[in-house]
Amino acid sequence: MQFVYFHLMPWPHLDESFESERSAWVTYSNAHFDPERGAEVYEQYLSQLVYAEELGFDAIAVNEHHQTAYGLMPSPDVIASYLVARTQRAKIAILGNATPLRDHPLRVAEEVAMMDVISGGRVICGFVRGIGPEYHNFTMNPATSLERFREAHDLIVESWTRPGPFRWEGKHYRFEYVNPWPRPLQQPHPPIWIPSQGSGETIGWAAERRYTFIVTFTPFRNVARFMGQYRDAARENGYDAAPEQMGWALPVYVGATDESAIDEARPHAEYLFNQLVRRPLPVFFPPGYLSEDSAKNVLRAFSAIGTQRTTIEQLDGNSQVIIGSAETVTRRLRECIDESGIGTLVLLPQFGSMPHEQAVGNMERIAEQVMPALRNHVSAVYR
Amino acid sequence: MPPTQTTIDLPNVSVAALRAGDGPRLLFIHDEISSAWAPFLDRLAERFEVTAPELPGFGCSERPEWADTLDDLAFTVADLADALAPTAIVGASLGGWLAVEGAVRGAHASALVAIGAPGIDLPGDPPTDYFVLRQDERPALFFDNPTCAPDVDEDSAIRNESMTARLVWQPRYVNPALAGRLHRLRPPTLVVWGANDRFLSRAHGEALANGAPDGRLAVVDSAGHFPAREQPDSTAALVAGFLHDLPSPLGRGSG
Repeated sequence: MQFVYFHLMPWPHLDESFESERSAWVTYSNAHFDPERGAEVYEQYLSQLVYAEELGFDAIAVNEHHQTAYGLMPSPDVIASYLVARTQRAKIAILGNATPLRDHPLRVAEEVAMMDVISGGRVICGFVRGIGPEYHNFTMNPATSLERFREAHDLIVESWTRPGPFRWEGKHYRFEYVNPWPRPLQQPHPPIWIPSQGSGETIGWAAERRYTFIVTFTPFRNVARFMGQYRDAARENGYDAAPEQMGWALPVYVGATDESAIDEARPHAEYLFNQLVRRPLPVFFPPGYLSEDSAKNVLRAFSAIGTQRTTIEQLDGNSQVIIGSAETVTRRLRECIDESGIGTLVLLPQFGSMPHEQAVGNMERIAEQVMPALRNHVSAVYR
Repeated sequence: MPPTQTTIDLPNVSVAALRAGDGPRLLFIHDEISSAWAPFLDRLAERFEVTAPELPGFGCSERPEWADTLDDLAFTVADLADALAPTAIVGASLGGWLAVEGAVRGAHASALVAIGAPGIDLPGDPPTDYFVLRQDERPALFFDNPTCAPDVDEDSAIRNESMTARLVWQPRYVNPALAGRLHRLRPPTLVVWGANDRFLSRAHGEALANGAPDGRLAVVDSAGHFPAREQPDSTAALVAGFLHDLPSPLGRGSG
């Protein structure tokens, strides 16, 4: 089992006036961002990320979101390069760069290659499309997002693996000279991870390329189904997926008892899902972002996600979060690993409005009381 | 009399169309809400042979690979005009914009009617961003009387909105080059606007009417952005009157 420490860098200071807002995305005024408090928030979050290496996490992960109180990392590469300088051993996982939002994706190829060389080959390169709200606030066309994502991927990987200069004659990108310096240290290129909410098209695409597939913020029964689909897709491509190729990202909280853990985590889990994630369905899924079939499924089945209030009992009940004593959390994670086959756990010990000291305590309890028992655990799928 | 179904074979796509009525040929370009037949077309069909094609990527029509931008569908309108040789082209909202864009690209007709057509760039006066609104919030933006919003089946609604986004998302509902091309609108042009359009200000209609060499603006009372849906009788009467007053072959104005 490999363990990834993942941070979303949420803005933790939404006050009661936020109740009348539609969402923390797109239209929530940045006048609510207080730079003085922001400096403190960054310092605390960055220290947590660096501390994760000391606690034995294998990788430290960051991501990209724009113009939202949900997360303060519009540029994951800025945070990742800070972490490269402050760590020695841990992998630095960028989960990921939202390539279709860029007019020139070679900037991503260049920055990731820079960090890979500077870090001695410790970079994990994630690619994402960017989520719906970012197609609103960047006014990028959601209907061409998937095409741009795939073309940007092809361009970046080719720029790392094919000696330049060469011309690129794509539909969305046309360049006379593709010739980025530096090239990455890891050969043929840094490991590529694909975070996803589980669309069938992405599962097959990632499995075909043997990329690590990470399911985020999803009730566990769906996680297990997606991982089964991933293994099937791998077999269709002539290989058996390794456990490490399948990852699951979720908030985890360990307390002294199940009851105290729920009490301590409640305001922060509910802040995350009710305040930070909440957004109207058309903001979540702008037209054309999903395929027609996926759009129908979303309208029918998922209209509640991010659009209705939830409770920690509901979230914990369907294992969108796992909260409890060390024994409970270990047992439940082991059961989920056994059922789904995953070999990469992407954990969010800080979530929502959780303050620094509490987040550090949670990291330590996870690292000392949960990770050792799971470190050598192999999923029943592979036994 | 219900419309009959027909197919119009263009060089790069076969287009499904509905047709009804007798008289001068009228090509109708549907709006972004629905390509289905509507009462407004029944009214027009009392005086014209109305052909209402379903644009590629809308309704039941799969999107061909090449149909990617507003420019692509503007040429489809020009191709439709070549195929049908209509005496008038009428379009509503997105369809009105496409009729104008088709006309500046050479779509031939003796008259042009653009109802609530976006497309002209008026900095500081953009169309309202309805894409962030929930479906249940949109009728109040688009209609003077929100109960006039038509029912559209789920499959068509998803496809229509996805295709519309593909065409209008960026830059949003505007072609910055259009104003500089309006001199190519050769036929007399009627721009129709709802008196209470909360989506797109009347200034957009005035700019289009003023930019066309032979353009005029007419306003429909008790209507929002879709007067042909909200006031089909008075909007159709306005269109028929405009076409009737034109010199032949359409009307008898100077005949």
